[in-house]
Amino acid sequence: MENNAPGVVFVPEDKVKIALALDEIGVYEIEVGIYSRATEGRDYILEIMEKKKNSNISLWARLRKDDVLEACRQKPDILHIGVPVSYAQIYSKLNKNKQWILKNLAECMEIADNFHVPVVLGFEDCSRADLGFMIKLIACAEKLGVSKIRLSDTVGIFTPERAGKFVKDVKSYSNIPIETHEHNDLGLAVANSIEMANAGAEYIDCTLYGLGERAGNCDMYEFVNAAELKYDTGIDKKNISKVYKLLENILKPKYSDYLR
Amino acid sequence: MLKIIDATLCALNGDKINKADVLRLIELMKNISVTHLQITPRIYDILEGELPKDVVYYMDLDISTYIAKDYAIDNNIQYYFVPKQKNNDMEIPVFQINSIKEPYVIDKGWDIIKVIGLDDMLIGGVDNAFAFFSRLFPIKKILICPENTYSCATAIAITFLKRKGLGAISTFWGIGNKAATEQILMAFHITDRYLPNRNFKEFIELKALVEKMSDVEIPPFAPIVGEKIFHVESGIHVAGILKKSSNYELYPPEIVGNERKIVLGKHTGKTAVAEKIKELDSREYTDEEIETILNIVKRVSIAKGYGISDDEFLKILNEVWL
Repeated sequence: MENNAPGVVFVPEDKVKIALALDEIGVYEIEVGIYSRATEGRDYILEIMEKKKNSNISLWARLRKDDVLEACRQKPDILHIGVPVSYAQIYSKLNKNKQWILKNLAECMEIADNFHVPVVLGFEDCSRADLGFMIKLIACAEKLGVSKIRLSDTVGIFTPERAGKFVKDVKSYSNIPIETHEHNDLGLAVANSIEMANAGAEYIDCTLYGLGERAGNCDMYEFVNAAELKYDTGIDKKNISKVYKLLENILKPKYSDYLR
Repeated sequence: MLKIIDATLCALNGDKINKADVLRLIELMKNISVTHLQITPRIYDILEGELPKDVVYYMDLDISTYIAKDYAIDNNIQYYFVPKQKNNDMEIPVFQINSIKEPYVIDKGWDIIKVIGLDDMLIGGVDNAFAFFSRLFPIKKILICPENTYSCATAIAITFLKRKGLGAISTFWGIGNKAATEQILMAFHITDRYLPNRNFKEFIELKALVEKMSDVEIPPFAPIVGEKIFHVESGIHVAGILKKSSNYELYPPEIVGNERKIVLGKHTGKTAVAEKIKELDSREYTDEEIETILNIVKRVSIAKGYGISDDEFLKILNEVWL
């Protein structure tokens, strides 16, 4: 719901409608956005938390103490903290270093721990990052009580074989559950996600209509349509179509702009 | 060399095809280094038998056309795809395999075969898929034409080519439920440095031409060729891209004839607003004014449920300036 597809605006009322529809069809976790006092406030988060029946509700935060503190105050079921792991993201984008990442991670985790909010650590740009640093981060994260690692293929450079091998490599060092986050820049998001599941990833990020930056993410309908040949996702794809129908009235100027 | 056989011309079944457009499409394919093309008797007729040079042609024949021998034999056509048989060196037998779970037996005596389908090839895992081929037929003698029932056709083609399969058959934007030629090309360009000094600006004209020759409208967020895939709104992404585009872009938009555009909306940050002001307005704004403008942009965007156009942004700037 906050996956940065340019031009797409979900107002709080839309978010409540979409979240409750996803809750109804059995989606394990719904990431409802980044907490922002200035734009949307907290009412919609509270409403979703109050009315949902099945799903876990998560918020996303940057690796910053203030952001994590504000997000934890909303008491989500899960907090995603985005951690840049590639040289491009750490040095070129943030102008920081690996030490800064480790220090901030420890500080942010302390805050989340105080609020008893389970944390998923999102490795941003993992597909262009050094495996050694990520293994070190995972060891550190496990000690700090992180519940899952999300592998974000931020620029969509993975191919199925590389994606699967990457999950196997991570799994060979740690038993921490793995979540995938694929981008569709090369049209491979669904196949990469399937191969990552085959390699042992337990959680697969999807978005409705594949909405997301650039060419988007792994489309929920397409993923379930493929994955159900082998896996029980717990979601009936006919029900996903119903949620897509709901979105047709929300996406502007017209929903068909977002088909791929 | 990567063997991609483009079959876009075979997927254009409507009545919107004329000789000039077919010739232009072939020219553009050559320009993006795709020199193996699959055609049909109908396309051959539209071209009146005048096949442009420097292209390897594969004529795709259905059963009835093949049995009736209702097609041209032309020295400029190197191969004919024919149903499960072979009567001369130019013919390549075609097999339909929809699921790799089903038992298939193919005579290992053929020198080259074409396999259509393979819809579920990657669902059970890449290694499992190639174990299937090792039982079926050597991949260095297979041309595959994967189908996109499970949104994996491009991935199947790429994986097959990376494992040194003989070749893959695809169409522009995957029309006709196939793998997408431009996605395969770019995947190899990026991950294997295939044609490293090449740009693919012709994708834009190819896209327009394919849309003109078919009833297909390629959506704005289609991988590689979507008009809006380099639009960027989120504050985090704009700031990252302005520092260095490769922070958030897999390749520069110019390579595929596109351009980056900052769009303003609910997710916009101060950096994006400042950049947009530079683009559209010669006046200087203070940090405080930029903050005010940002708040208005977010408010207006949320109220209208969509991004802010350049005209709307200029109106906001004029209000703040007054």
